[in-house]
Amino acid sequence: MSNKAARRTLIVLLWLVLWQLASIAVNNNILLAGPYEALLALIRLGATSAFWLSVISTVLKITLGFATGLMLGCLCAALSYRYGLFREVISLPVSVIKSVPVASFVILVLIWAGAPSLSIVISALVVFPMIYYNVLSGLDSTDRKMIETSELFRFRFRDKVNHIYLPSVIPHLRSAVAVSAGMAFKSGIAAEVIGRPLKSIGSGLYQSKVLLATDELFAWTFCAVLLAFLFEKAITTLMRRLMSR
Amino acid sequence: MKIVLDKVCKSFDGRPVINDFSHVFETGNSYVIEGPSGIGKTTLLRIITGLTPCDSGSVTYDKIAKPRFAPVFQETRLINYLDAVRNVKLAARDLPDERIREELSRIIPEEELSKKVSELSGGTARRVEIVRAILSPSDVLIMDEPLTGLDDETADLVSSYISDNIKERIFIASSHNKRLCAGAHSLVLQ
Repeated sequence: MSNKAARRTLIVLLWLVLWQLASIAVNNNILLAGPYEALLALIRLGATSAFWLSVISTVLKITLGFATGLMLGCLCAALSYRYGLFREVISLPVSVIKSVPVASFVILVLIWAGAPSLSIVISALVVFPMIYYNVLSGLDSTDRKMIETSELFRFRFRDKVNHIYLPSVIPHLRSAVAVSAGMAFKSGIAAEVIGRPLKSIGSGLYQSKVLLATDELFAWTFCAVLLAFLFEKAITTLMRRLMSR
Repeated sequence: MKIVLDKVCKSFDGRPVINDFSHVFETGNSYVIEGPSGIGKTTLLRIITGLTPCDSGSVTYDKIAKPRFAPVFQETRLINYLDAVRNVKLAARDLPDERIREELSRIIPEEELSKKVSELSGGTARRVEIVRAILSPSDVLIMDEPLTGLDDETADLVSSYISDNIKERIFIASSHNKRLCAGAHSLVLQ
């Protein structure tokens, strides 16, 4: 283990010890469960099929929402770049999606579509504007001179995209994906807490609040943080591999 | 085929650059536009290709709706992370790699051909652009100062390479260098 990794591990352990000491001092598991109790709760939850079904369902839905937002964002950015009128028409809805609080959308989606598809729609709505603005900004910053050159030489559409537009879009897209992957997960789970669809991490979090089970709340939270981290890593690694080809 | 420029005018910020320029460019002929820096040679080439619109006058193409142009711009315009062969291939996709390589090696040392163009010197990159224009299926070759950055010996080699490969096309270039296409019609901008 490198010095840096060892130092980071020690720092994490220090905070865990402080948390455990605080929990002992408070001496009330409802107010503050310690990391040991949270670990026990996680093991307890992990032994049930309902826990894994919740995790799988949430991950699949958020992944689907993320992919939808990513594709729609790229498509709309390409259309906006190509057609000025489309850019003007879509600018208002995109600004609205970006500015309206997620909670408002959660309630609207609950009314329109119901709880089962809630996290799909919400994570798509969170991802869409970020991808849209970043991809559009990448397209707008494409070298005009190279576009001119490719048009005079009549490059194939595929070559134009690969060698003229993508090199400009990729850095913007990469940073947008890294930020929006984490955001999709957090907002998707937050939406589940409000909408409480069956078999979801959000529902688990809500249940632990109702039952005043702070240890389970921490267990679910740890699970959500870990999944968001893994999701972000998986998406950015996938992007890096795809883009380097 | 003919390109007809009739009383073409162009100003930038109220300053006239091209004033009442008229000329007919015909297939099989070469034209070298001469004149001091800043006189409007590049602007005229851009007007001919349709990249810059003229303020008044007209540019018409005879016997063809829109000719295919093969340009060499004043500054390097290549895909930096590709090698010379791949760069040329993008504009001349029907040609096999071997033929492109063979053509490039007529004016570029063989060992330079597998390098990324970002690793080539300015003069070598310029030659890649010239071969790209020559090999691209086109009706009009447009070259803006194609011999810039080349030493005398290389300029002679490149100049004769261009002359040998114009074929049934219109060749229009701007140049300060008298080597370029000795038999070309000279148009002096004043």
